[in-house]
Amino acid sequence: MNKKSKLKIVLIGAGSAGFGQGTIADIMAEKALRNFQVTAVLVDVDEAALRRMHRLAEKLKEYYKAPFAVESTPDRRTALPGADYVITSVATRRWDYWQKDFYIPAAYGFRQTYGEGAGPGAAFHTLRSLNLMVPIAKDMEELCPEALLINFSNPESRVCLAVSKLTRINAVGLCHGPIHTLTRISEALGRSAEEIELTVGGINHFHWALEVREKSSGRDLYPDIDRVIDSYEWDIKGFTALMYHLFGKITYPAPSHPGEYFPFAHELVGPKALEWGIGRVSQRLSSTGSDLEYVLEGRRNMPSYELWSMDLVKRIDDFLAGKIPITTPDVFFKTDLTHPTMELAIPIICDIELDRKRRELAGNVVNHGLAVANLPEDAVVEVPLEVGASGIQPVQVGPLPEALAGVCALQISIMKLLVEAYRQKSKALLLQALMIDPIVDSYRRAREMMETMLKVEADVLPELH
Amino acid sequence: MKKLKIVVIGAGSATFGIGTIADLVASAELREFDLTVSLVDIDARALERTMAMARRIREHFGSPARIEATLERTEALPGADYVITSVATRRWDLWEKDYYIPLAYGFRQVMGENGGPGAAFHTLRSLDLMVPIARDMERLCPEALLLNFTNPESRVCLGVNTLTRVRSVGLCHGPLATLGRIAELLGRPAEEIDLTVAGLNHFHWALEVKDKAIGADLRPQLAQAMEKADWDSDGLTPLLFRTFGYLTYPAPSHPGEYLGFAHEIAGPQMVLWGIGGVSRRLSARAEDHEYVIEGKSNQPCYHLWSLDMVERIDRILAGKEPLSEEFTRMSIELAVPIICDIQFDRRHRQLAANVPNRGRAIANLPEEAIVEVPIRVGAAGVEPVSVGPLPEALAGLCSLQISIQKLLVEAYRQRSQDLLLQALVIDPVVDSVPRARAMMETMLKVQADYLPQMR
Repeated sequence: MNKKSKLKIVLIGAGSAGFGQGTIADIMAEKALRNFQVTAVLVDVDEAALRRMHRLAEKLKEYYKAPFAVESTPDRRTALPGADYVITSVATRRWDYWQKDFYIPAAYGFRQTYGEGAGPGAAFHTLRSLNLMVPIAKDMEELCPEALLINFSNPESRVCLAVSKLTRINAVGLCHGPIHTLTRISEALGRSAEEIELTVGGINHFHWALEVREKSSGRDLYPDIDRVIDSYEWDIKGFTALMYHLFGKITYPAPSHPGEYFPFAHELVGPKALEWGIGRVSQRLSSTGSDLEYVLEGRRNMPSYELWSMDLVKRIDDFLAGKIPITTPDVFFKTDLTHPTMELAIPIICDIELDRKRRELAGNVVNHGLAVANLPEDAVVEVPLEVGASGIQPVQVGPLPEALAGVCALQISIMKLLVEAYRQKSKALLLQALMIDPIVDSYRRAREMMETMLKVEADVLPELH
Repeated sequence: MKKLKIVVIGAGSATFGIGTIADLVASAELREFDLTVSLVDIDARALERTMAMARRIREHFGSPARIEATLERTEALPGADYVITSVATRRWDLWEKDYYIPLAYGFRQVMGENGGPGAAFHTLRSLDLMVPIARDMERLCPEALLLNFTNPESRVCLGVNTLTRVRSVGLCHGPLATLGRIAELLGRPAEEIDLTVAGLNHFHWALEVKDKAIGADLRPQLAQAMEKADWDSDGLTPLLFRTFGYLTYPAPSHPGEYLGFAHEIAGPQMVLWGIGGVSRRLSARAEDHEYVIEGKSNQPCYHLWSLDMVERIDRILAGKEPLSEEFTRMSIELAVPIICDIQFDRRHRQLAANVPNRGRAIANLPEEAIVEVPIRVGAAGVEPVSVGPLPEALAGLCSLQISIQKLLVEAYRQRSQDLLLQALVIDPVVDSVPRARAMMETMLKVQADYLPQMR
């Protein structure tokens, strides 16, 4: 038998409880990877988190009986040489900064729903993420220039655009958004997701179900969606149904994600970051991860997103301390620490290595060959992918409906301005990006907000002049 | 002598009609043709007034042109080489609704004319007038060039271009006002300055400002002059220059319509200009200089000043006043220069007009959009001059407006309330779907007499 070829996968930000546990479980559980001599290298600047995750990785390896090597290092430059794939999910003090991204623009009168992926707060989130991710991609240029970057760091479109504009690294941005859209549509239709062929098009967190078909017959399922659009509860605010009635397509999760792109969303869906329990300001002081009193993705009786994530850390610690078995389910999602995710990183790696030539649900890639016909070719778009040994190709989805193309085009200009603001370290371009944002209705307040944000986030923002 | 027939539709309008006639009969170049000017208006009294003035002006210039008038455009159009249009129905009364009704629903427009929710209805009214005119041209004079002044200019041109086979060019004196202001700022005559504007109508940006003689870049001097200039109450023009690095003019009333943050700085221009009965002191008169136009204080009420012109014309026609220079000087509009460029194949570059973005004259806007760019004009027609890409922030703003324009043209074509609502809710000044829907329903009711019937 031939010696198996080596495959080195580096996970940067592996100390993150959700990303680290999920991605490691995906690797260990994947049978197709057993054709390779896999080394998974965990990287995190938080050494305590890294140690925790390395120990969990060894346990997961044991649980799945995976013949893989696991290494860890706080220094990514030690890990990158020889890497075939680099999977990233990085942020610094995510909750504390997200809280600022949401509440400080609000204090200046800008009504964001979420403050994460679009709107004035997201401009600062973008600069912080570029300040982490662009140096990683530059290290890759030097140490593993042929490796594929698989990025989960948000804001996804903006991070991928920067990697494409400022480095020579090949990248694909992944997000489970389209998976949620597929799940929700299949639930609404009372069918299994496997029976449905979904074609999304748009930008990350603002993708639209352009086509929904029955896989076996190719039949258009939009007439079926139309029948249940008002009877099925897509979200408690009715925002998903409203989007469908306005624009004729499904987008999801509409209140929190697509809502960020519409100035009219706040009136309808309210302050989602508050309802999700993001940041200490948003939570009851005595709230815990097992209290189900929040509203996530338009559903009631959910845990606080922040506290639930912290609870996951505690479960990992309890398991490693021998207090609970690895199969202890979490209070809400009923999944345990062995649970693989539905994310596409590992399937995409297998598609490439085994030349499976599969169509994958969606990823964020440069709009080569005008995959979305009426958006610029250098934009990063979220579309289905065709993946094989020759790499990742966007699937041609035709044009977006005109109203959505217009909204996307403006957002793409904002993204380009932010990437350029980061590259030039230019406050003037940051201000331009803020001023053309659809929810910004005041020059004076936008400037003052910008100055405050540059001050209160100074520790982690690039220095702008 | 070669025949040349020019049809002027909307000729009863005091400013447009008489200004255009003066340009046509005063032109020395057009005397090389056997010229017929055919005036058309559906308002019989206004048409009669314009015809009477046309005779006086022709006499003044000793022009041999034949001038005729008709209420029926289908009588005038056969044989036309050029059709010049500027049409509107009950302009002031409906403009007032375009402004104040969206305001009542909480949408803060500066002007309610060519951008923002009010302009969606202005667009539908204008398309309902202009598309049937273009369809008559397709039938009766398919080779004629349409020179349109009807607002909203970009949207009307897009409607004509998308829905008919008529060739058209949209004209506006906006770029001339920009050139005039730049000349004033630089303290030089406009003739010495080479200006390249690009963008959309009422949202064009001075991409290049050069010394015509030596080609030197005058933007550094312009930047200095912008800092020193007295902008009176116009805070928006200098602010946009500082923020985006390019001059757009006059920002409070025109570019401000495309910006969600403009109202806070520019305020309600409609009120300051004194447009509509609501905006004025009840006893205000045309000669009261208590209004603010284009950011300049001590201006006459725009509405009353326009109405007053009709009275002045009536006094001249009644022999109470002589024919004043106001009515015999050439306008600054480009319609007649463009006609001459074509007839004499002059291949002149003209300051700017609104044409399809053929060959991506503006590199980062869609090819089918109507853009305002310099044009080159000769026997082969009107071609946009390539100006390269717009700065990214401005391209983004224009892209969104182009989608709004396309939705409105499609809403008109399909008579679709759904598409109209889409155009409204993606507008940067609209921040509420329920209020946008309620406003739309009210507007469709109160303007029902002048709007296409939407389903």
